[in-house]
Amino acid sequence: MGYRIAGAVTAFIAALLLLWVVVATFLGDDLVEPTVRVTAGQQPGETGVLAGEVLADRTRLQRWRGEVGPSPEGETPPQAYASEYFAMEPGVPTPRELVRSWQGNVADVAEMLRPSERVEGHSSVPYQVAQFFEDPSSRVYRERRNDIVRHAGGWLIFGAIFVLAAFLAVRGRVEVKDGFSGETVPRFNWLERGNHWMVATAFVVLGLTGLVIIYGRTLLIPLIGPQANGDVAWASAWLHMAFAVPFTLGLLAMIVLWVRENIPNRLDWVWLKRGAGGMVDPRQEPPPTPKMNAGQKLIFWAVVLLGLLLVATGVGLMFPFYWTGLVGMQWTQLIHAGLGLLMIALIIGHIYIGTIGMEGAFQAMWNGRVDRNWAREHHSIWYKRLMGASEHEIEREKARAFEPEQPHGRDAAGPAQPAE
Amino acid sequence: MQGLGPFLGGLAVAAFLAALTICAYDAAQVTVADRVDAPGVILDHGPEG
Repeated sequence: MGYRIAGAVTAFIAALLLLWVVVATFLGDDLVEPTVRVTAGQQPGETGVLAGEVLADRTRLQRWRGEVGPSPEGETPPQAYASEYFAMEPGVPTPRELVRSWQGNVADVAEMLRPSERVEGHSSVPYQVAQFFEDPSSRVYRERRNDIVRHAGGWLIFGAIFVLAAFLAVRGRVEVKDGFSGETVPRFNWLERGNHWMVATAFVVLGLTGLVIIYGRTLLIPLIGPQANGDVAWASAWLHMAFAVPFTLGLLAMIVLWVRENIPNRLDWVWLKRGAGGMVDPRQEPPPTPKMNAGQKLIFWAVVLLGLLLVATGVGLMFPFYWTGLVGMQWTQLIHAGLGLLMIALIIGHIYIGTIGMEGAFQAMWNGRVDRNWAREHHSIWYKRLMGASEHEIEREKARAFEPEQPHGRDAAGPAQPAE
Repeated sequence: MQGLGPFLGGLAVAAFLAALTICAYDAAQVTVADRVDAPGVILDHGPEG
């Protein structure tokens, strides 16, 4: 009962957080803000025509691009320095300072912003460096990263927590129906467990640092300030790259160690149809299942495929512009961030079912052993093989999966060990 | 306590490989500035800009 109450409380908190994300997505401020936000208005601080004219005047300053100083075509427009029509973001310099900074020495960024012959048009942002974001494709990229990906991440992570917590509140833990026997059988050896924990450690670091990289600007700066956020983000970027290597090596080792057991077969479909092996509905008996059930296989293949894509895009980000241009880099970053957030949501589900969600499951990866009754109930084919059953008996057990569901079907796997 | 060995082992190997990666990546001195002349890297504002 305690687990159900904890699930209900967590679901409630997750629902509130989801609501916050909904508000931020549909009703909140646009996250894609220019570096310098200027609100035009008829009256000082409002929107309208008059300030629009001022903006146009200011824009004329920037028509002569690639050089510093005002356009040689004319005098500095009189309203270019006007400040009374602009409501500036708190903390940014006055419009006059902004324009002057734009007119100032930009030698430090000149190399990056060197105009090519293809550059045309004009910028409306009074920062040379911000003109990068005036590029149409970069503007779209910025919206996708700062708006779509950030909000989608909130939906995914809080959504996953909500669904799992609500499931726990309604269903409760998946229990061992015959109780623990007190006798255990080996399930994972030390190499499998050590490798699992290496990947898990790396993924936790990658996930947390990745979240800082994506959300630091919007969520951390208000809490710890820009200076501290800068330090945290700097450390996060380094740690993110550093732990990519143990993650990659561990992922490859996982493929070698576990791919054979995770090849899909007909039994997986039976397991899914029986309410995920009786996990959804406690009245349903888990069907005969080999060492890995369909849910575990789905997790395995999702981790492998998402992991390999994350590694490929991550290498592209670690070596910027080596293999692709600007637009390619933008897509690489977007795909990496989106898949990373998806994988965090997925791993939250994996952690749930491996700990709180299912009784007796965590021991499999902790000390490598599981209770006999757990093995019999959830992986009867594997258990029979482990107990030295003949091929004929294994085949008979497999065939049982395709028979009409018996109220006490699990008994066919052999008698339960008495509970402790 | 029986499971602590593989857990700490995995954690230690992960940390060791991460430390090696930092050294290697730092030594490689990968910078964006080296690549600004790469094909396709054009800060193109376009007519809409």
